[in-house]
Amino acid sequence: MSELLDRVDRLCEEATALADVSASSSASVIRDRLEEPLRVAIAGRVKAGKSTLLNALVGERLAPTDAGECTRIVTWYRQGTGYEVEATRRGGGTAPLRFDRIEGALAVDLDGVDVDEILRLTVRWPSSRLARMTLIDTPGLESLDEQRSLRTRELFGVGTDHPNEVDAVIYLLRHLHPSDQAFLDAFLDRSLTQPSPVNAVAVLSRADEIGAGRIDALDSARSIAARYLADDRVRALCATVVPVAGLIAETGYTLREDEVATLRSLVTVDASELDLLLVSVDRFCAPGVSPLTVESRRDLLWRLGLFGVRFCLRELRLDPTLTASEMARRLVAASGVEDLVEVLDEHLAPRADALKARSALVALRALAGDLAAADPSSARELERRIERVEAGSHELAELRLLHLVLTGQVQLSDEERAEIDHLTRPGGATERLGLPPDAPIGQQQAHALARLEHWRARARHPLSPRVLSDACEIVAESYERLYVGAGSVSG
Amino acid sequence: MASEPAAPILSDVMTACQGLGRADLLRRLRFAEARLSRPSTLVCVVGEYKQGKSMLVNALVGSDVCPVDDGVATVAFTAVSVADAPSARVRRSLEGTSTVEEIDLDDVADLVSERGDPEARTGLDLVEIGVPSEVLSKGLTLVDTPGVGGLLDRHATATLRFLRVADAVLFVTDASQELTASEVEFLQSARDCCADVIVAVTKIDLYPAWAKIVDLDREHLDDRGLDLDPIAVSAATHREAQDRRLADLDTESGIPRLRNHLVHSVMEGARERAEEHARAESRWTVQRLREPLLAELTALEDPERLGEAVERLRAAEQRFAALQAGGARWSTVLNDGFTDLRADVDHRLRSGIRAILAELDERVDAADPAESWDELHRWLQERLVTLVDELLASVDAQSAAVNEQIAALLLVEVPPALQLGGGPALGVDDVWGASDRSLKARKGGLLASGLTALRGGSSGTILLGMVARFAGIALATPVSLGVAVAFGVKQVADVRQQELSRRRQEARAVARRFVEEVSIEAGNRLHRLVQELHRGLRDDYSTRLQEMTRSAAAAVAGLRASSETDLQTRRDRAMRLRAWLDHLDGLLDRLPAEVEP
Repeated sequence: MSELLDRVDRLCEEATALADVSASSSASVIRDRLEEPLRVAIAGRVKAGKSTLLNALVGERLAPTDAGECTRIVTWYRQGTGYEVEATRRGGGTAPLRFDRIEGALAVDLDGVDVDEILRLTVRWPSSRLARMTLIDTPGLESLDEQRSLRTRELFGVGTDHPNEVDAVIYLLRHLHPSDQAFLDAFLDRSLTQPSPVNAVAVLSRADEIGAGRIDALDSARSIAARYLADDRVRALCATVVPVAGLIAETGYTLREDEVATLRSLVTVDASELDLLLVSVDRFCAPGVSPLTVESRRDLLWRLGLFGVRFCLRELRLDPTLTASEMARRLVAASGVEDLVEVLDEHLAPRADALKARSALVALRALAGDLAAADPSSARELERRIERVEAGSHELAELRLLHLVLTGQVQLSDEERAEIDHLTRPGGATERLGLPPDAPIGQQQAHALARLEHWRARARHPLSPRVLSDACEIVAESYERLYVGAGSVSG
Repeated sequence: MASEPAAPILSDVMTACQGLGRADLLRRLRFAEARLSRPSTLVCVVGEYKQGKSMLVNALVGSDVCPVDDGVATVAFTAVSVADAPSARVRRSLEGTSTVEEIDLDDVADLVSERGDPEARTGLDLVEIGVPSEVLSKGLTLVDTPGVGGLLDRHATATLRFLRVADAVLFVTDASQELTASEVEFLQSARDCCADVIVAVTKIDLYPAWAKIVDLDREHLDDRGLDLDPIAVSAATHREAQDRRLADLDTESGIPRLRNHLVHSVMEGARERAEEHARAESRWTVQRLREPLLAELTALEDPERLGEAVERLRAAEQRFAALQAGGARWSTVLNDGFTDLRADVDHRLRSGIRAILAELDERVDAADPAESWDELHRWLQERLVTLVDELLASVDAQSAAVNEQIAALLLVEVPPALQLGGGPALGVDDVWGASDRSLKARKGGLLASGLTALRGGSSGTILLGMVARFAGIALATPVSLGVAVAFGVKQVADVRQQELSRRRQEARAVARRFVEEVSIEAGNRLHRLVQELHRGLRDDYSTRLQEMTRSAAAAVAGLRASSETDLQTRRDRAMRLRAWLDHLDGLLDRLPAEVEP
């Protein structure tokens, strides 16, 4: 556990001692969270492809998906030693539930409990991905069933009294939509203790459908994602935008030998006839056209979509000896899911401790607020200690800095932005300084010192607005720490 | 009511005009004829972002007129109608004046899509594209609109305003998912603005479960009392079918079915209105033709009264001349009516803005602008758009009231002098009252009813242009009003560290400047609209009065000529006149005036 988490942990312990019984149990819940993996929610509008993406990230078909709106309850997927599903009721208390798997997807038996009674489902599953982060599948926003959208808002603490239960979010967008923006705006709490695009990653989802399922659909998706990212408004809301074809990834991870055999027999169909088959889903499933049954063609479409079928057939035509596992690999590679995993690993994972600490501090602050009526002096004491931890942590300051820079509240050049992004990324000193890995200590110190002086001068410039000065001070302090750190290594 | 088609009657009336040497009456009839052959029907294509609206418009039109791009959305209103050769023009409102500018078709893509330079869209109201197309040649105009999101979205408000003048709304949603809450909400409002709503479910080539989605959509619509039957289409399949010349594939695309629906059932209403318009104009014209003939015949049959008849006709002629002069009462009523209207708009705009500013102060004082700025921003924008919308509706209703007042006045003021002998009374209200009667069944006032004079000018798009200007206000805010920088969040964020009072002061200043800019711009545009309505009405009444004057003059000339000839010639003349009058009466019999419901 990092030093910061240690300090927050101690703070929770102190809060337990300070507070009354109910508050002390809240404090211990907060404390438990520190031990858990980072909580990452997958959010977005109805049918944005959240469950499909969740399956792609876990690398296994778990969350049920369907043409109609499907996810009704907030579902947590946690690392487990065995396979279990449990329901947490609104009134409190949990109960294990029976489940089945239909074509891989979990079919949970709610055992007669009303959906509205259930706060969340928790699925425990052995998976290396879940060991690194808990993934949370959410009902779509903008659902015609308002209750469902409300459940998601609850999870994020938007417009309700519930505290935010997640540390980071993968936000799925299909095309930037006003309700997407409004939601993200709300999610990104404006209080200074909670900096933000720092913990939001956007995914341009269902990327295979963007270019009408054409074979170059993913290139199109990539250029759209790049264009979004060039927009300040988007950059103010999320760290980056990754195009992902969730269905292609999900099927890639679970592709079966017999499916590839089916595809192989399709390649043998006369070229012009095959061409016509691929015009539309109706043509593809039209009776009596190809050697395959309508059912097997329909199954292929469900698994791959028209783009996926076109993609596989092209690969098979180019290389008729392609094995099923190689085909699976190519699907996963084409889907873009690996890019997303990379972003999660590089962007969220290294800052997990700081993000968790931040969530805990926000929760503790809410607890102090609740406590204020019953026990004002303890509440004040708790707030004082929270502030001390916040003020004393340079990691939190860096998060705040990153937030200011990423949201454009502090306007810097692109080079400066990149410099700060590197600098605040947990990692080796040379990497953070933007120096080659083998740079000698002396060079590291000289570089750190030069940058330190540059930023301090900027901070003290009489014409710098206050917020810019503050940001420059944080940058300078980061360099100062690197300078001192390099010195201690050499000494 | 089953009545004879207007076209053959109209053609007979035109022949009669020529035979009687009244070419001055033809202009109006020719316009009615053109409208009959191409009843202008405005269909707004609306839907959320990236649902395939532009591609659907292209498929319906049969040519790639609207730019289609995987990632770039349409951001300007684009009207597509028929033309002999492809052409494009841009309507703008800049600093209080409207401009129309021909542009290269190749430049349209950048102008109407979000990829283009936002500067180029300054003051942009509407892009009009003309293209040779069989479907459009029947009088259809398709308006491609920017995607709408939630109902509070500015685009949506602007789009709804368009729907008020539209004959039908084509709502586009794709088969990737069932209808969302905001889509259904929008459909409900659209239904309130426009009687004819069509739902198209697009991209069915791509989604295996499209049929299920269509069923789900139908259920959602049913649940909310919207009796709409979605039509499933695929523009991509249609294109493949065209390329491969496969008729059955084209049927699968659903495009022929949708096109048929538009051409037949949607255009039916417009066709009926055009028919009624043609009948009203025919009635008016036949009356103008009959008057002098009847006067002359009466005099021929009773020579003793000849002198008296000439006197009365002279008096009538002078009366018409006086009616055309500036000081005529109808003209005073018109001018006073519009002066009042202008003053009323000014007053309401000012008091509306005052109320907004007062509430703004309260809101700023009630919270810390650093926290509430975004909400404040949204609230302000919404209030301003609503205010402009209310004013627009009020201009619409009040100008319609002025029109009715004048029609009633003229009914009394136009002398019955021409009614010599028997025959039907001269019906001023025939055109001024009745021609718009069928239109009154539609919602709204002068704008929505598509006042003949305005809709008739050259094409339906004039009206569209007027409305586009107001859509422009909602869309343009705040970028093209030049307050974007001032309204950015950054400025307020910067002062976060300052004292609360200082923050409030700054927030108030920024917001007030924004309100001021919008109110000036909205005021300008409203004034211009009022001016155009005023001029349109004046021109229409003047032309009609001129035509009546000519009828009186022709009668006088006819009487003079016949009084100077011998008995035999007079008998021949009387016979010819009777024959003409029989012919005209026959025409009138074929033109039953619509009965008030």
